[in-house]
Amino acid sequence: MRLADVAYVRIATSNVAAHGAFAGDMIGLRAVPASDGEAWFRSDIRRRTLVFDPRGPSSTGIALHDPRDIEAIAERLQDAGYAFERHDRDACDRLFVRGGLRVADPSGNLIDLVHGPHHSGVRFFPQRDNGIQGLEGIGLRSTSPERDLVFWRDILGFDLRDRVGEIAYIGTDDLHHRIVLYPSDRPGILSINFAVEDLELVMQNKYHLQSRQVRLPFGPGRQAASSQIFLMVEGPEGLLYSLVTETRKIDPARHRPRQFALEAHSLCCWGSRPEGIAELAV
Amino acid sequence: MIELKDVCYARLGTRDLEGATTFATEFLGLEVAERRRDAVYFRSDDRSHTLCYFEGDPEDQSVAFEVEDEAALLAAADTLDRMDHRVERGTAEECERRKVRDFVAFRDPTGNRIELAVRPERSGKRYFATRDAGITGFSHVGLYTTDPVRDEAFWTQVCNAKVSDRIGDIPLMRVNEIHHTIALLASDRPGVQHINHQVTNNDDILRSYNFLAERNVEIVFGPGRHPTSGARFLYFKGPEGMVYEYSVGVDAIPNEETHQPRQFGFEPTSLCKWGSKPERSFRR
Repeated sequence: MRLADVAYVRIATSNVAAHGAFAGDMIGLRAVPASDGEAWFRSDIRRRTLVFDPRGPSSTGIALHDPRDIEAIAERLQDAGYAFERHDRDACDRLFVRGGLRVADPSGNLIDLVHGPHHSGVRFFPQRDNGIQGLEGIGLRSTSPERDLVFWRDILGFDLRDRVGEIAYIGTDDLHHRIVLYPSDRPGILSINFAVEDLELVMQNKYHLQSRQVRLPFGPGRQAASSQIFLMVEGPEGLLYSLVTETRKIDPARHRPRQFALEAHSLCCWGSRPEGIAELAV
Repeated sequence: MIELKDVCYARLGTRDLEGATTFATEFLGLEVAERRRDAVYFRSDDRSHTLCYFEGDPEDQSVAFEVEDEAALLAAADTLDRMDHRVERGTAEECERRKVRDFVAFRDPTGNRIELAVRPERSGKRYFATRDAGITGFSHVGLYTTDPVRDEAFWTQVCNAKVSDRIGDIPLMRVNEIHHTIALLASDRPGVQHINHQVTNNDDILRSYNFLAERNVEIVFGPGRHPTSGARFLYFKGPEGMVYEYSVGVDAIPNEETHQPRQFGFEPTSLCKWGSKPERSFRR
């Protein structure tokens, strides 16, 4: 079985300073010295997991544990007629990876399929006691999840785990999902999901951020499909951070995708309601 | 020494019995055990009732504790008598209204009406909630005190309560393994400050938070977690200003001998380690 996780997120923005301040001071990720006007953050043992880039483009790094998987994907991309670009030495140095390629999903989200994302010898130490354990997943906007699923499943090797309406949860390992495709009128990164220790840390983050007038558009809640406890936090330019815990482990060989109704309780079985997130309007 | 075994029931006067019943069932989630012309009885666990709203003055509130047997009851009455606490023995009719075999009533030094009950009725029929709040039982009360130090001495020296922890001068006291059965809160007059029901898990707390907030029930504290007992909690307002609490995960103190009460500072983080702060209306 192919194993993959989300290695990094790069966000193109004209406002690196605002994003940098939010990721550091509010979320409490660890800022590391950056170059080229970018802002870099760590969230776990990896050298860097979140980058704000004034030039762009935005992309999501997906690390495949076995580099041979990348070659197999490259072949399938070629056969299916997808244009892709292999990361040259410069690109690898810029992305802090050993190798990989860049391809756009049918919606236009740029995906870096990489191996050997750089780890750091310095252990992760958050800027405040936020309980963050690492980058766990992302939410991607999709102009057609049904169409994009073919790409994610047949070419990249992800499994469909569950659906809420047309929202699709996908993953490769025993974690319920790593990526969520949300129907939208455009591509883009909707949310960046950081795992925190437990419910206690989710709640501590809630009150910490609330007292700083940060908008919390959804949660604390618990997803019906994955049992994941989440708190969505709105950063600059509507970028969502989701602080998550208790994402269910499944047996990938036995799991059958389930269809949940598109209603508030499928998105949160505790009854919290998303506010002002177009992709989560029910 | 008066041996309290457990908290038993609370009796609350109300000017609006219908409104109180609606709250207790549709919002709090208790089961109606019995309706009488002037009172409604509610269940929260195996017991025949743990809460009674009756037509009367909202300041007329009592909390009952179970004692072992009739002998213990008489000994307790004697102890209180010798301390010049006025003790009233319940009449047969009053016992019937409380669904107990026997009881005596007195006032604690602040003036809270306390009843000591013998053989409170249990029901063979299992508890079935009105709404899915996850309630597993009536567990403790918060009582106002006009002098926490004096009242702590009463509960721990005249009765068998032991201090589990203190926040400032405010003691959290247990009469069995559960971290606290009586919490005191400072005020200028007596009264029940809150009534606690235990629920099954964290999800119940968060579900109820959304359920109640959506229905405009005033949330006065939480969702949060007490650093003292470890319990996750939610406090909200009921009829006549009574505060109700759901909580889960309250610590047990099985080893009496080795437990040392901890002293917490009188500050918000001693009440909630998640960072929630009590609203002004949490207490008077």
